[in-house]
Amino acid sequence: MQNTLKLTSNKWARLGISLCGVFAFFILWESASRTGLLRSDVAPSFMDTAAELGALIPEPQFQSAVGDTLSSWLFGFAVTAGLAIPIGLLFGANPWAWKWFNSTFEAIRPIPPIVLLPLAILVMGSGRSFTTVMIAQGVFWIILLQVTYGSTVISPVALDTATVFKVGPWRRYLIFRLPSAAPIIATGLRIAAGISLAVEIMSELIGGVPGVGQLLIAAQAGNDLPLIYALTGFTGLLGLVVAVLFRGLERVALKNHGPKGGAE
Amino acid sequence: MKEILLAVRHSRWLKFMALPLLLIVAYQLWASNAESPFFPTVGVIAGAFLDTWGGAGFVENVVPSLTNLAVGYISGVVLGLAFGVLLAKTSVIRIAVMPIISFLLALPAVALVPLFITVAGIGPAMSQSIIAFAVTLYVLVNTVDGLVNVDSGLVDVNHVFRIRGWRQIFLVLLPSIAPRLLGAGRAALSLSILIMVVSEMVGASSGIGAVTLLSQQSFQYSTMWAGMVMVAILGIGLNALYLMFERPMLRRSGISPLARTMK
Repeated sequence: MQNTLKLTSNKWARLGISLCGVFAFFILWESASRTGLLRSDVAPSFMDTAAELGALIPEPQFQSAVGDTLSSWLFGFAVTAGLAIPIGLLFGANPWAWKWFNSTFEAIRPIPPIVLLPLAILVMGSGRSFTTVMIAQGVFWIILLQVTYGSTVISPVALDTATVFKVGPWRRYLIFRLPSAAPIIATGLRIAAGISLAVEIMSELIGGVPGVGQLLIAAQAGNDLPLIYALTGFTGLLGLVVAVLFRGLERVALKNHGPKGGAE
Repeated sequence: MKEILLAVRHSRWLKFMALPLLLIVAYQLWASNAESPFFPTVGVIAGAFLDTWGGAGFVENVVPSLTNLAVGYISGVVLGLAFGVLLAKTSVIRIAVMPIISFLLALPAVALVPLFITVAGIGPAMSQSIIAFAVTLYVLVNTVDGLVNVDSGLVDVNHVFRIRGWRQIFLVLLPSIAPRLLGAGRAALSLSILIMVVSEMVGASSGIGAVTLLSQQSFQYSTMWAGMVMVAILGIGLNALYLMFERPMLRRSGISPLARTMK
């Protein structure tokens, strides 16, 4: 936009405005509750929600739920990524195989990551293998497609260089294809991390898997509105931390993506 | 023989169907041997599919689900575009509210289901409002990001030709970010389908998600399979439908679909 104020181009000024915005939001929320504009059967006040969250954090039951959610998410995500990245790289190196499966994978991708849930609970119960299967169904295709597209962007010059120096297929893979695909893989992982966390929470909500989602369902059954707000807010913080961490990873991948990768 | 092979190689449809067909045949062979109650044969699933979703089941369960989806999605897109344009125009307010919006965007939308059930009660209003909420956020963020990063040359052209106000928004700015918006709309559609099913599974007695989970809990596994197939078909079908509309719209905005996929 053209009519930008000078103020908004300064990094610190922007940070200040952002902080003011967050505080203004909290104050508006609190005063809307106090004046009765925001009814207490719709939302508790900001102070009540914050107090509830503060009381929640030292509770061992809450801590173990957070631990369950994080470990089960990380396990499922790591297994899925560990499978999808090598397979995606293989497809990237085999245009012929990719031509055959490409459209099928693209078609499978929009299947909602909840499809297998009823059957998977039945067959596997609500353990770690269940959440792993759910996460895999949700994000395997996303990572696979992203990795494959990523490994096809390598510049012909880099590949010619590899040929000239008689680099073998394995090293060609590790030294040439992987670094040039890294930023796109990192983007895929960031998107998949967010979705897989949502899938984990969803499995806890519906599948009875222990974790923050289960606490949420219990709070809903008890009609405990401050607790529901505190837990939902905490889930948001969890999502935010995951998003920030993976954005950092993406930035690192982009930074190390020097001229040796060679893709424009 | 060679001609058949060539035809197979060049037919997109066959390429597309090869793997799914293979999987269905393999499943059928396995299921008819295993005789497990959890895994009915393809014929049984197809029969249950027609029984569950045909006739009365269509009116009772499929129509309400799709109505919730449509109402939530469309209002989300409209609200997201409106607020997105407003925020893009006012830089100070944008910077002030963006942290809150990023937080809400990072919050997994399915985690909102218990909160909305408690506040809005069980029913269509709950599903519709969660879907609208999630879609609004998604479209808003993409509209703002797109508009803020609009090519400065385009802004200059607007000045030279004195294109302002609504005309500028609808004829120049929004079309210039159309590819991005259409991509966001597709992702938001997938998200809406997921929220629809999850919200019905957690708190509803009718609808596609509710029927699927309830039949699992009452040991009617062929109905459960019919539900799973329905959810998968909805995901694939609505995505395909979206792509059909997206292509001509992209062409109108002057960007070929090919150019976008290469990016």
